[in-house]
Amino acid sequence: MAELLKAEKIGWCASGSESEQILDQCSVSISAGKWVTLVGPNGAGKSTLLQLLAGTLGYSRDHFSGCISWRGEDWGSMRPRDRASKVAYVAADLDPAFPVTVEEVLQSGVFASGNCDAIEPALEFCDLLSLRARSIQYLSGGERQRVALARALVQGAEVLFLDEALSKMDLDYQLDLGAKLRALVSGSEARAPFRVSSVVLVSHDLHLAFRWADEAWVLHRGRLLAAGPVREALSDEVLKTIYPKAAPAFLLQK
Amino acid sequence: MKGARILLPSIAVLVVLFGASLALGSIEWSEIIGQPSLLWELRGSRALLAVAVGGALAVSGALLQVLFSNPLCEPYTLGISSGAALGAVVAGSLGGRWIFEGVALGSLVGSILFMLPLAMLATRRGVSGQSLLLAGVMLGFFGSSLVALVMALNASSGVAQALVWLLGDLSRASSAGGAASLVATVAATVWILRRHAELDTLLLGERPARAVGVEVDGLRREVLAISSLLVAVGVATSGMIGFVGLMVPHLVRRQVGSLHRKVLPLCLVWGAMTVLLSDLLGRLLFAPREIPVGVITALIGAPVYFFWLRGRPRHG
Repeated sequence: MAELLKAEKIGWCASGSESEQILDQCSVSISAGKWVTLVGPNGAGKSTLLQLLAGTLGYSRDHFSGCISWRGEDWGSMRPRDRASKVAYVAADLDPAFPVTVEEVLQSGVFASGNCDAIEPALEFCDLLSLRARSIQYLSGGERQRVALARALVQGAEVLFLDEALSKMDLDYQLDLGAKLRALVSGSEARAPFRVSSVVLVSHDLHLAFRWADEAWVLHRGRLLAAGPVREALSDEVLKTIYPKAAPAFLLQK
Repeated sequence: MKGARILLPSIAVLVVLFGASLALGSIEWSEIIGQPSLLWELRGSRALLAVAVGGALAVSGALLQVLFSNPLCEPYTLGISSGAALGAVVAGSLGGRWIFEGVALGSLVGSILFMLPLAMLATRRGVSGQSLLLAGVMLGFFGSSLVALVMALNASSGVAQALVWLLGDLSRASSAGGAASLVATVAATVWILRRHAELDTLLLGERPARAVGVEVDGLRREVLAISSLLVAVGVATSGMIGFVGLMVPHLVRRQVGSLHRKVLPLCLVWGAMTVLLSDLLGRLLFAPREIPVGVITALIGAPVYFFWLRGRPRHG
């Protein structure tokens, strides 16, 4: 299995001092055809990890430590635009200060790929064709998340980092879009419109984690507690550590 | 294309307004006939300057708003105009024969001095648009307090003239100054238009812009430099004309949406129209008395803007 992104002992400290170490000594890798679920309590460093992998925080030596490579190449020295055509980071919220239509948001994804042809399939994929001319200020949180996901697809990225990016969608859209993304990752569609080959999803929904994921990364207080095949990484022991109150009830259902 | 469908008629209206500015005024036609150069000296250069300043203010407002991700931004709210005012009253209180040139130069220096700390903050990583705006507002208060201090300690006539200047005043236009301002304004707008796609990504906020690979820090520096230049053009030639930088970009966005390849050219034209029309009204309403153009833009602009906001936007 081709290894796409590989991070070795990466860390991030907020103000340049040891005391504010948000993330410490994390080593992970993302392979083509794999879906990773990133699990951890609030403030564990999940978003920081995803943004470091995506490159959106930059790699200033004052804050960043460790090294990241893309198919063996140094990731930090690549142009931001080239990185954005390989990986896409999707945040949980999309809340612009100005009136922007759905189509205009997707258009901004073209900056990374230079490929306008991806807009139509992305609108269709996320069921946005009827909303395309609407200003996103009038859309609900779940609809905006579909717009943000569609923009990431327009970017033409191979790896999607979804930072709770499905969290506000209704159950049907969560399951439907999740399943469609899973099909892209598995390569089970013969003529897939997008070249997405891996997904890293931050989610607090452990049912979804088990449903789609091949692997799980567990972050706890800025450190990687476990990483590997989903059932091994999310062991009963690990779940009790990260969710001491919720884990027993979940384990009963399991 | 929708942008051009509005842009071209707008340019036509601007030309008509320009003609009206040349034709109308308090001086009798009998005095002007036979002396076309006098007409140009009196009204042409002033109209040219109005076009340049209006365009510069509207474009700088649109740029500053997207730069700071905040629809309230314009040279006024960011404190840059306070810097200009401070420079003007300091120069005015020093007095002297070259009072007008001194005030103009002083306000130019002031606006640049007040923009520098913002620029330094903007180049630092991890400083959000919100913090930059707060810093700008703080600078604005600082500047206005210093203006009050200088005026309290100083009662020279230069300060009174600086006050007129603060209301926005086009009456000292020269044709060379007007033409130079117009060239600078159009050139700066065309220059920043080449990065329209990156500016569009910034509409969604800083993080989504970075997520598609825009080098936000570099873009911010360039936008700040261009908008400083535009503000300086406006302030150094005509004092402080408020409201245009805030209002025009919003009206434009309601009409054609937020994409910058449409917004910036239309801001240039509508900003020019606004100041040209305001100056014309200021000259005609109480002729032969003149109302400072900045008073008109705010007095008429505010109700018009309020009225317009009640309607649903054409776009989106």
